[in-house]
Amino acid sequence: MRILPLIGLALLAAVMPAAANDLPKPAGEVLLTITGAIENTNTDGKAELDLAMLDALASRETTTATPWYDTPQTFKGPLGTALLDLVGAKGTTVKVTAINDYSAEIPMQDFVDNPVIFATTLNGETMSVRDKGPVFVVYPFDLNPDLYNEAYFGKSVWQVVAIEVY
Amino acid sequence: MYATPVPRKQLINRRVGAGLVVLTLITMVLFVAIVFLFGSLSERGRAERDSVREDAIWAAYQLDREADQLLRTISEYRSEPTAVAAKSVTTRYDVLYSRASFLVQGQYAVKFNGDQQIESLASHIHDDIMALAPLVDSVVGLDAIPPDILGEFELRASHIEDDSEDLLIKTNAAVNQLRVDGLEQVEVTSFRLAVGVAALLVVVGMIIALLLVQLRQIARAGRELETVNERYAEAAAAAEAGNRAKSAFLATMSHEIRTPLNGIIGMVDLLEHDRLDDHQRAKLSIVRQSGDVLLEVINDILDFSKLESGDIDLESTDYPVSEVFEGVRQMVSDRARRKDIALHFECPPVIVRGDQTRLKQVLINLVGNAIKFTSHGSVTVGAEQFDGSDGQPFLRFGVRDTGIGISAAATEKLFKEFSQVDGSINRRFGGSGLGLAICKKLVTAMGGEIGVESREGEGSCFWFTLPAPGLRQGEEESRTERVKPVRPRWRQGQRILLVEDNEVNQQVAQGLLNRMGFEVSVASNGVQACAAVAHGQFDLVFMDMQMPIMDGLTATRAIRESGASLPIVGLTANAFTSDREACLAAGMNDFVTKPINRAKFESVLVQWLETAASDRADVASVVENPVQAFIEIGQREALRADLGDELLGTLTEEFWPDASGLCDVVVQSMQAADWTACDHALHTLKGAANTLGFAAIGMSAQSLRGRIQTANGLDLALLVQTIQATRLALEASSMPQATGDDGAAEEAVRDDFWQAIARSEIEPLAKRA
Repeated sequence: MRILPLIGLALLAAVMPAAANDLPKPAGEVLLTITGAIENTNTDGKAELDLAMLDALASRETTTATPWYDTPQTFKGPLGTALLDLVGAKGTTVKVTAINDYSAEIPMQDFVDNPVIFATTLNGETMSVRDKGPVFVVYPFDLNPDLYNEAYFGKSVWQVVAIEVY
Repeated sequence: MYATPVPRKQLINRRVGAGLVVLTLITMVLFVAIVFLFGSLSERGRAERDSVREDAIWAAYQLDREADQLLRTISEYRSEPTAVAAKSVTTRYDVLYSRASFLVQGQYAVKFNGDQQIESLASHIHDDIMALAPLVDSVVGLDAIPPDILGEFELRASHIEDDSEDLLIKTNAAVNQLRVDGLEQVEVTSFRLAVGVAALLVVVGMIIALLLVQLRQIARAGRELETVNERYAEAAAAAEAGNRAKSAFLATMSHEIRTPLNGIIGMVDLLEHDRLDDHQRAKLSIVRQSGDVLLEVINDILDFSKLESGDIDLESTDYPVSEVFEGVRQMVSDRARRKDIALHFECPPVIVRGDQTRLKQVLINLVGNAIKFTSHGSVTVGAEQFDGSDGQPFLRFGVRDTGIGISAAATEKLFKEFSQVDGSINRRFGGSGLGLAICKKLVTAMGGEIGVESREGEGSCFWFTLPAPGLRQGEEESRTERVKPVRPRWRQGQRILLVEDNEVNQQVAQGLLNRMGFEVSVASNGVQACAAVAHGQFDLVFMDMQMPIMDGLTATRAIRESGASLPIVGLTANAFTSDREACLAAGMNDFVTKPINRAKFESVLVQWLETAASDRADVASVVENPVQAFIEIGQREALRADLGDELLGTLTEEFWPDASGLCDVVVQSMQAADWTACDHALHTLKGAANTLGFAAIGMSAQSLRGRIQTANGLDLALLVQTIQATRLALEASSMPQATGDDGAAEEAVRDDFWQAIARSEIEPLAKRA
C-alpha cells in the first residue's frame, strides 16, 4: 500500500514533465536534507524530507545483529534506491553526514547491489537522536554476511541529517 | 658361508624399519603441532580482538570529543544565548547520550578483560551521562536555559569530559599494553614454531639417513645375490658340461659297441640259415647267445644312465593291459620253451592310461629274471586292480616263479644297481645286475612301488604297483597295432635302398633283406642316397644317421624337398628320444635302433610295405601255426568263455555274409569315389573282425583305410583273400587234430590250409575286380 503514492508520483512525473523538478514541501519537521546532483527538489536546489515523505517510500524491514548492540535489532526504513529515485539522484556517490559532522561516502552501486535502508524506526519505534536517530544507514547484514566487516560498519552512519549526491 | 651375516643384516633391517616407523610417527606429531601453532598465529579471532581494541579507542575518543563539543556549545550559548544555541545544546547532549550506550554494550563497548579500573570508569561515565537526562529534558523546547540549570549542566558536563579524557588515556594505555602482550605472544608462538620446524627437519633428516642405510643394505644384498648367482651359473655350466661329456660318451659308446655287435648278431642271423653241421650250429648258438647277452648289458647300461640323469619321458596313452602281456609273452616265450618252463599269463580285461612301453620293459625284465632263475616249473604273470589310499585305481602286477628263491638278507639290496644276490650268480646267469635297479627307477617314476616276496629255495614273487588312471573294463580297438604275431610275407620284387657307411652293417642288412625277398641297393652316404632315390624306383629307404659326406638327417631333408614321399626309416645306434625326434623332424617315417635283426626289420617293414598274405612260395621261414596268422586264438577263447560256444558260433556264421556285403560296399563306394562311405565300411569290417578275433582281416581293412584313395584292385583282392583265408584257418583250427601238439599233425593242417587257400585263389578276385 505504501508503494501507491510512489506510483502516483511516478505517474505524475510521466504525465507532467514540466513539474518533474518539484517535490512537495515537507509538512512536518525536516529530518533529511539532500543536496548535490539531484533533479527533484523542493527548496533552493535541495530536497528537504520529513518523516511522512520517507515513510511513503518503498521500504524494507531487517532484523540483524550489529556491532553496536548486544542483541539483534529490527530496523525499518526506505530503501536507498527508492530515496535516491525520489530525488532523481544523478551521480556515482553519496556522502552521508551525521549530526556531529561525522560523514562517510557510499557508492551508489551499494544501493543497487544490496537492499540498504535509511532506517527511521528501531524495533517499531521512531528513533530519537538519543537512539541514534533520526536516520540510520543499515546494510542488510542478515542477507549478506560478507558485509559484516569494518568497511561497512564505517559506512553505517547513524544520526544522519544530510546527504550529498555527486 | 653366508649363514652368519644374514641374521645380522636382518637385525639391521628390522631396526631400521622400526626406527623409520617411530620417526614417521614423530614427524606426524610435529607436523600437527606446527599446523596448530601456525593456525593460532593467523587466527581470525585475533584479528577481531585487535580491531575491537582499536574500536574501543575510537569509541572512547568519540565520546571524549562529543563531551568536549557539548562543553563548547554551552560556552557558545553563554556568550550568545539564543534559542538556536539552546537547541544546539540539547542536541549535543542527545548525541553524547547516544554514544553512552557504547560504553557498556555492543562490539565497541569499552571492555577489557581483567581491567576492572577501565570498566568501572566507563560504567561511571555512562551513568553520569544518563543522570544528566532529566536536567536536559526540563529545558527541551525552551528558548532560554535558566542560568542555575546551565551552571549545573556545565559542571556535570565538564566532569564527564574529564572522565572521558581519562578513559581515553587509560584505554589507549591498556590497548598499548595488550598490543605488547600480543606481540610477545606472537614471538613465543613463532619461537615454538621455529623449534617445531627445526625438530621436524632433524627427524626428516634422520629418516633420510635411515633410508640411505636401508638402500645401502639393499644394494649390498643385490651385489651378494649377483655374486652367488654368478657362482651358481658357473657351477651349472660346469655341471652341464660334465653332463654333455657324459652324454657324448654314452652316445659314442652305444655307437661304437653296437655297430660291431650289429655285425656279429646279424651275421649269426644269416649263418643260422646256412647249411651247418650240428657241431657248428651249437657253436653258433653260443655266439648268438653271447651276442644277445652283450646287447642286453649295453642296453641296460644305456637305459640306466638315462634314468639316472632323470631323462625319463613317460608317455600317456590308453592301452589294454592284455596287449602289454601279449607283447611280453612273445618276447619271452622262446626262452621259456627252451628251458621247458610253463608260462602263464592271467590278465584282467582292462584299459588304463600310461606308458605301455615302460610297463612292458619292467615286465620283460622281471619275467626274464624269473625264467633265468627258474630251472623247472612255471612262471606266472598276473595283474589285479585295487584302490589306493586316496581312492584312485591302481594295478598290482605279480611275477611268480618256482625258481631258486632269494634269502631275506639278499632281498634288501636286490633293487640296488650293480648288485646281484651273489657274485657267483653273475658268472652263472650273466646279466648286468642293473635290471632290477632299472625296474625300480621306472616303477618309481611312474608313481608305483616295487618289491619281492621270496624264500630261498621256494621261488619268488616280484610285484609292483602302478597308478591306473582312466581304468576301465574292455579291450581297446587299437589291438590291430600290436606287434604282429606272425611273420609277414612280402610281395615279390619290392625294392629297398639301404644307406649305410659301415660295410659290416651293409652286408648284414643286405643279407637279411635279401632273404626276406627284397631287392636291395646300397648307398654309402647321403649324397649317393639322394642320387639313388632320384633315379631308382624304391619302395622304402633305410637311412643310417651318422655317415661321412652327408648324414642321414640332411639326406632325408633333401629327399623330402625333392618331393619324394616314399617311406624312409632311420637306422640309429643311439636309442635316445632326441634321436627319434630328430628322425621324425627331418621327415623320416620311422626308425630302427641298431643292432638290426630280422625281427626289427619286419616290425618296421610291416608298417610301411604291402604284405602278400597269399604268396606262399616265397615264404622263407616257416609259420609255426598257420591258424595264428589269421586268428587271435586268445580273443576267441575269451569270447567263448563270455558268450558260450553256441552264440560265438552263430556270430561267426553271421560274420561271413556281413563281411562279403561290406566288401561290396567298399568296391562300390571306391568306384563312386565316396571315400567317407568306403572308410565307414572298412571301419565296420575291422571292428567286427577284431571283436571275433579275426586279426588278419582287421589289419588288412585298417591298412586299406590308410590309403583308400590310392588303393587298386589288388588291394581289394587281398582283403577278400584274407577274409577267405581266415575262414579256412578257422575251419582248420576247429578240426580235432589241429589242436594237438604233434608236429606231424600240425604240418598236415598247415599243408591243407595253404592248399585250400591256393585253390580259392584267383576266382573271387576276378569276380570283384
